[in-house]
Amino acid sequence: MTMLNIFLLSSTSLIFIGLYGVLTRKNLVKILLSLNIIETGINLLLVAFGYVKDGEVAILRSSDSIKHIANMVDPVPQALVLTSIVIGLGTTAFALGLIIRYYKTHGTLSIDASDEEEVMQNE
Amino acid sequence: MKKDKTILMNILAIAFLALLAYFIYTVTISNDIGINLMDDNVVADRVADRYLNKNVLDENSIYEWGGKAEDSAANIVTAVLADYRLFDTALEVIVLFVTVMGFGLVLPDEKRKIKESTQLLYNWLPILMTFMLLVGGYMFINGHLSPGGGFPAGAIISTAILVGVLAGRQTVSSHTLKVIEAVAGISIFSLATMGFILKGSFFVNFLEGGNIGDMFSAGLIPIFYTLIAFKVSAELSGVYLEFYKGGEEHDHA
Repeated sequence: MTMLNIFLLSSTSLIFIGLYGVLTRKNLVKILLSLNIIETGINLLLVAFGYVKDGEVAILRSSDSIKHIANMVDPVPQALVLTSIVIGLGTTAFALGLIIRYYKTHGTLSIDASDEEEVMQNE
Repeated sequence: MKKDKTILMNILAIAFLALLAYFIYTVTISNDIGINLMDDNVVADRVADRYLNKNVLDENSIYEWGGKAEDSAANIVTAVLADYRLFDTALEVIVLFVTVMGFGLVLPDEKRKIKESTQLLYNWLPILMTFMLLVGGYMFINGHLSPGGGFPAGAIISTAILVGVLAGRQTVSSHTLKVIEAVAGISIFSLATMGFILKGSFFVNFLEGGNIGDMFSAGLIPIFYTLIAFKVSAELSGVYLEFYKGGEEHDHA
């Protein structure tokens, strides 16, 4: 069991815990939380792709650390994950706005409410 | 009866997902063709090698401490994010802008109850905010030397404003935030156009690099990070203020 195995195992389990939540929960907020768990798992998976055994942080700190440049971890997945975290934050805010609107239209957070075609009329 | 059905569905979902997870896990370990993750993949075989040695544009670029390279940021992740792949980052800022704008559009206009904050938070707010703004400022100024950068800095600064919102003080008006955001966004793209005019391609780092490890190094990266930090913090604070808006009806509980 290497470190990479642990990373892959934990990220796949996070993804599938999230998928389980999406499939079985009825509450929209809980579904959104599950989607965020999936996102965390995928971010961990991407960073794990850049894993190097006994690697170093991809930052130069002194004149000494330049000698280890061949031993540094892959910086590209880290940069991509930074992007995906910020996008995740924006989409989460957007989804929360949609959920607030859903609650206002249906009067409930359950996804079953959208099956019934009769929509509560406010205004 | 209905409860039995839910339990059955849960068990089915667990079984299905466990099967799927097993297959995906085995494929990530090995699928017998192509690159195998479990082999010793050295970075020298990947694209990242060019980024690490900083010889993407200039084959003879020598990367050393205190020296001059084509990109003199000491933090290589920053170099990738804010120089080599800046198009990616700039378009990401646009995506964030669009989602935040859509959020404002989707959110229904209504009065929401907001609980009044405690006296403790209200009085401690200036001290807390000072420290948060200091940390945020340090993050984006030092983004090319140490872990950090524009996005985390923006998140930290907007958290400072969120604490203000929680304490019941609106520290900035949403109009100011819109102006900051617009100015930062326009500056990012005018710098990009300036690179096009001066060097012939968008988002090129046209400033002189300086020595690796110095405060003033890496050319345009600190400037871009400052702009990105302001833009991201303005956008995220806009989200928090949007939640706060219409909170005139106080809940005295």
